[in-house]
Order: sequence, then C-alpha cells, then structure tokens
Amino acid sequence: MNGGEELNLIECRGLTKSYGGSKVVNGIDLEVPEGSIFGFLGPNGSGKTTTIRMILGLISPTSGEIRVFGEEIPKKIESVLPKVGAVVEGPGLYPSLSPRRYLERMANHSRYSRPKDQRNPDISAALARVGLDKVADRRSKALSLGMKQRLSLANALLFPRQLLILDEPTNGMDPQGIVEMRELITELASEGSTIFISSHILFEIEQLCSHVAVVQHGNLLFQGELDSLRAQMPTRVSVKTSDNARVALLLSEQFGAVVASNSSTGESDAIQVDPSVVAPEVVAKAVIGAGFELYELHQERPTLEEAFVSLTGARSDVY
Amino acid sequence: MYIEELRFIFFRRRTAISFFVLGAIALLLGIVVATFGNGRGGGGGNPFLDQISHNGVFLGVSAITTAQIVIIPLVISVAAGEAFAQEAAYGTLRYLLISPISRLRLLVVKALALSTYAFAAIIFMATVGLIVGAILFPVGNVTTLSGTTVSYIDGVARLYGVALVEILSVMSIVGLGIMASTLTDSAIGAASISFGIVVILEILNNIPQLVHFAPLMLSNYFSASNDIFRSPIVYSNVLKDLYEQLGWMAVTYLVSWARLSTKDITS
Repeated sequence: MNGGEELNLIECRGLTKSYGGSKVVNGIDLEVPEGSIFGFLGPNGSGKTTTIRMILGLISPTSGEIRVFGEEIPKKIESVLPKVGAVVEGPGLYPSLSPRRYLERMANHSRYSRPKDQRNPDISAALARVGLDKVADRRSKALSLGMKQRLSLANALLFPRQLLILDEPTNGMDPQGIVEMRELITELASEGSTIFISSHILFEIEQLCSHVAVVQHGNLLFQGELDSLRAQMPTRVSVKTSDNARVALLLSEQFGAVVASNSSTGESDAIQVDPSVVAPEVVAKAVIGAGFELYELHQERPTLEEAFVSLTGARSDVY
Repeated sequence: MYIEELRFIFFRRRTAISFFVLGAIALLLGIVVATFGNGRGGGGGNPFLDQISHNGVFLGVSAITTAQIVIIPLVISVAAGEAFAQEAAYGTLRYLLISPISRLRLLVVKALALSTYAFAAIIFMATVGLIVGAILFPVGNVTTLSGTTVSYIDGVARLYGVALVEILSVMSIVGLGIMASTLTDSAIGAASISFGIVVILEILNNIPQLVHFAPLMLSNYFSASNDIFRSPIVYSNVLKDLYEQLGWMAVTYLVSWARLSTKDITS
C-alpha cells in the first residue's frame, strides 16, 4: 500500500482447472483490489463457482497461481481462511440442527485457527444481523431456501472478516431479502470489508459494485472498474421528433450517423444516433433547422446488462 | 473440536437407535434364555451361551460374542461411513473446511470421536447385559472356561475385559468406515463398502485354503475375547489382535488421508 500501490486481496494468474480434458476455468487472471465490491459475472456454468472453490482451497488448480492476502493458495490456506468469510454454491446445512447449533458447530470446529479473543463469537448477534433471530432454534430442514441462504451468510459473518466471498448469495431470496442483502453488503463494505460477489443477476451487481469481471465458458472477457466497462460500450444519443421517419432520413443523408430508427410505428419511438460521429448539439440544430419539432434528445449510458450482452453475445442463458 | 464432534454424534437419532438395537440384543437374549432355557444345541461356537442360566454375568458376554460377527460391525460401519460422506452430501464439508479446520485435524477429530462412539456402544451393550443378567439369572461366583471359580466381582471385571477386547477388535472397522467415507459422497454407500469388506474378510477367514492369510482377516481374533474367561487369562491372542488392528488402522487411515488431502471438494 506504500507509494499509492493498490493491494490486491485476491490475485490469480493463468488460473486453469480442467476435468477430463475440458477446461472449466481457462487461464483466468483476476485482481480484486482491497476495499472494492467486486462483481464476478457470468452465465450459469461459466466457471464462477469453480474459480471460487479454487480461491478457497477446496479444489486444486490444474495450473496457474492464486494469491489471497499475498499468500500462496493452497499452500498457505490455513493462515488465510480465518480472515475470509464465504458462501459457496448455496447453503450447506444439517437438516436436524437449528441455526444456532449450526453456527456453534462451525465456530467450535474452527476454534483453534483463531486468536483467543475471537473464539467465542456472538451467535445471537450474527443471527439477528441476517434476520434469523426468530427461527434460531428451529430445525434447519423447516427453513425456506431464503432463510437457509441467510443462515449461510450469518456463518460467513460470524467472525470479523477482511474479505467476504459470496457466491450467488441472493439465490432463492424474495425481493425483500434481496434488498436487505444489498443493504447489508453496502454496510459491510463501509465497515472496511472487501467483497467478492458472484452473480448471474445483473441488476444486483450494477447497483452495488465498484469493479466487475465477466467470465464465459471459463474465459475472462473483461475485468476492471464498472465505469470502464460501460465506457467501452458506445453511448447513444436518442432523439424524438415530430416526424422520426423523415428526420432519420435527413440525418443519415447529412451525417450517415443514424444507428437505428424504428420510426415507422409512431411518435413514441426514438432515433438512435452515434455521438462519436455527430455531436448531440449538431443533431439538435439540424432537426430544428429543417423545420421539425424536437421533443426529446438525451445521451444514454449503456446498462451493465447491455455491456454484458455485448461481451458474451448471449442473452438467453444469463437469467 | 473433539467435544463438538462427540456432541454431534451422540445427539442424533441414529445414534440413539443404534444403542437401542445393541441393548435390545442383550435384553432379548436374556428373555429367550430365561424363557426357554439353554437349549440342547451344545457344541456350538459360542462357549458362553450355555452358561447364561448358571450365571448372569455370561449374558453380557454372550450378547457381545453373538453380535460381534454382524450387528456390531454393521452399526459401526453405518456410524463411521457417515463421517465424511454425510458431510459431503449435506454440503457442510466445504463449510467446515473453510470455517476453517484443516483436513488432517478434521480426520483426527472424526476418528477419535467415532472410536469413542464404538467404545461407548460396546460398554453400553455389556452394561445392559450385566443388569438384565443380574435380574433374570443367578448372581454369584463365576466358573471360568478352565473350570476354576472366581468371585462375581472378578467375573464382572472379566465381562468388561471382553468388552474392551471387542472394542479393540472394531477399531479397524472404524478405520474402514472412515476410509470408505472419504471415497464416496453417499453415507449409505460408504457404510455398505465398509460392512461389505468386513463380511468378505469373514468369509475368506473361513476358507481352509487361505489359512495362512487368516491372521490378516479382521474377524480372525474376534474369539480372543474367550481367553479373558480362562484362568489364568491368556493374552497371546489379544496381543495378536492388537497387532492386526494396528495394521488395519495404519492402512485405512493412510488411505483416508491420501484421499482426503488431495480430494477436490466439489460437493
């Protein structure tokens, strides 16, 4: 961190995992800066969970290098994991144990990996934080999937963590739960935790993340700040006029700049103009100068979903 | 961690059921002998069965020696087979490992806790046998297999001696169950593998052509417990049993560790 150098809490180089010849994860380079909320995006089956399991030392890479907190994984995994809280591929619970007893068991078994003052976590507080205090003594098999997810999250938050790795944490949650989860993640980030969150539900990530990585078929397509992903996308200027069809014709004659126009069906549609070819104010002058009325003109930022689709070229398997 | 694992094993219904089954065997055996007498089979493999109606101490002994071929290996295979396979099936293995607990530590904790379970189960069976035997049959000086007579207290001590030899004899089955449990994500599959190996070894042990390999068969020294009721007590077979058990434990735990330390946890 000296000299303004950003510390990467997770660093992967050429990370590869193959099963019987097919590469599930194919040479991924990841850099998760300290203090970021890092969205790890990809369609189902793109290698997100396999990558996360390798980072946590659950499976060993076929090749490549992983460092977490600068320590080599899986060699130094035991010194790293006490600082990491994680939800991996959904909850894993004992059907007959209550949430309280589950957290007790996890805390008891990891007891000797922590400093003395951290050996007796406040289980009630952890349960209350995720809203499970009322079902703390119920058998886990009686919980809904959303509640099980919350319990899994409570487990990740049982101890103070510098890094949280959350693999699809909102799976099975109702909208209310998703909102709460988002608030919780923001809160945790403001407390100083770095958060690495995987998801295939894009709008969740868009509202939370400072950084994103996009994977598909085990390949990394993009990583960096969310804004730089958007900046890679062409922005558009959307124009609505009294006669879109004729204006579109006019603009393409004058500038060759019309991206798309669906003006045939009526006023509500807009003409899309590429601002790198013609500036918005020039469009405005041209429209008014030709005697049309200008109803609306605005520059559109691409959404994460559009950026995602343009990267993966696949919309259907995203949701 | 060891306490946690004990708590985990002992506070589940399956464990209660297994204790119930083992206790029921001692109880049933007592009731049958009390109702129908010793029977006239004679000459059978179990030298203690005929003695039950003479002295209650032999009920506990007979219960153990009767159950040692099938029921005890089965109960222990089921419990030990769950060790890793059940955790994997629940998806809790990954959460335990990242909680974190090292794989080696988890193996040691599970092995110790399951050995404790085996210890408790067999002591429980002996104790149920002792109590039921004392209620249904005469209590008094005990005639040993060598024909000498020892005090009742001495007899009770020897009953627990038999239990201890049996506990020693199942340590390899605990190891087998744990080993099988690291090979599959299905607890019932692991229990079947473990129990299947025990049964196969018992069969091989009874094939005359394989007599030279008999010392390797798990069940070969099960009858060492008989020697506890000789006078004086003969320890040579118990000692051989100990060596055999240590050998099997070494093999099964080494395989378990080899498997567990390199396994990709994808469950």
